[in-house]
Amino acid sequence: MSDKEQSLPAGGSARRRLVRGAFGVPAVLTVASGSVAAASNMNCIAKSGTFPPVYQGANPPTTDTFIRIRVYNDPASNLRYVRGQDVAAPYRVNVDPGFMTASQVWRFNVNQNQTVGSPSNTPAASTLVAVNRWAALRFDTNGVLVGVGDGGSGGPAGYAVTGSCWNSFG
Amino acid sequence: MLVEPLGPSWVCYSPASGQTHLLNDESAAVLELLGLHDGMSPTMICAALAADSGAAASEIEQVMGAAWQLLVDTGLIRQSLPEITPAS
Repeated sequence: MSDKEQSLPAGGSARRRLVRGAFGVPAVLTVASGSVAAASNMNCIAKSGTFPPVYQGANPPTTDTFIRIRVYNDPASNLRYVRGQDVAAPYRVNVDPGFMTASQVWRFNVNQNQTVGSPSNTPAASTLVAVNRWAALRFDTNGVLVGVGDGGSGGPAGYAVTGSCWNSFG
Repeated sequence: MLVEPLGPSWVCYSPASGQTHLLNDESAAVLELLGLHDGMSPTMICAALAADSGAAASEIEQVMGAAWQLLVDTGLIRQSLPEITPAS
């Protein structure tokens, strides 16, 4: 056995501090800085790929904490929409200019998990009927809310997140 | 490798790995021994630790049995393979 380099404790003798008559199990705890955890999250982002399909069900599973909003149906057109008013205030701290305001709605294709066109003031949010589908909000790497569902090839790049971490799908 | 006391423990920085470790007295004592006498065998280290601590060498060998790999895995020590003399 050998140490990798000089390893004599400079500030005293560890051998003198050994308890007489007993020898405990050697322990090594590697200290990591917070930047390591941050880098891990960035790896998580880097691995992100496609998005999950729109959740279908009466309510989201309690074990699932994706930041998402409900999908609605417009009885007049039978098209699906998401509503800006359903986006909780904390997620609106940094919002892309192209994202819907609290009073707007955004047509949503549940088969492609993508928004269609631009946010609009019609149909009125109050006329929409909730359906048992949910779409994940999408954030870019700077934490800016950029969209709903999959960005596709033309939408702003971003990733689905849970309350605690960016998510990798693929 | 830099090893310094930190309260009841020891903090060790390895330039080779760039990692900082927190050690207890036992781990630091192993590094201290190897810093004084490079190339010691596990048996020699355990004997020295027995003399330092007053514990039985056999007991220390038993405790150290599973600890060697930990020290190697964290890059604090490395295993030196004995030189092999080619058969003539």
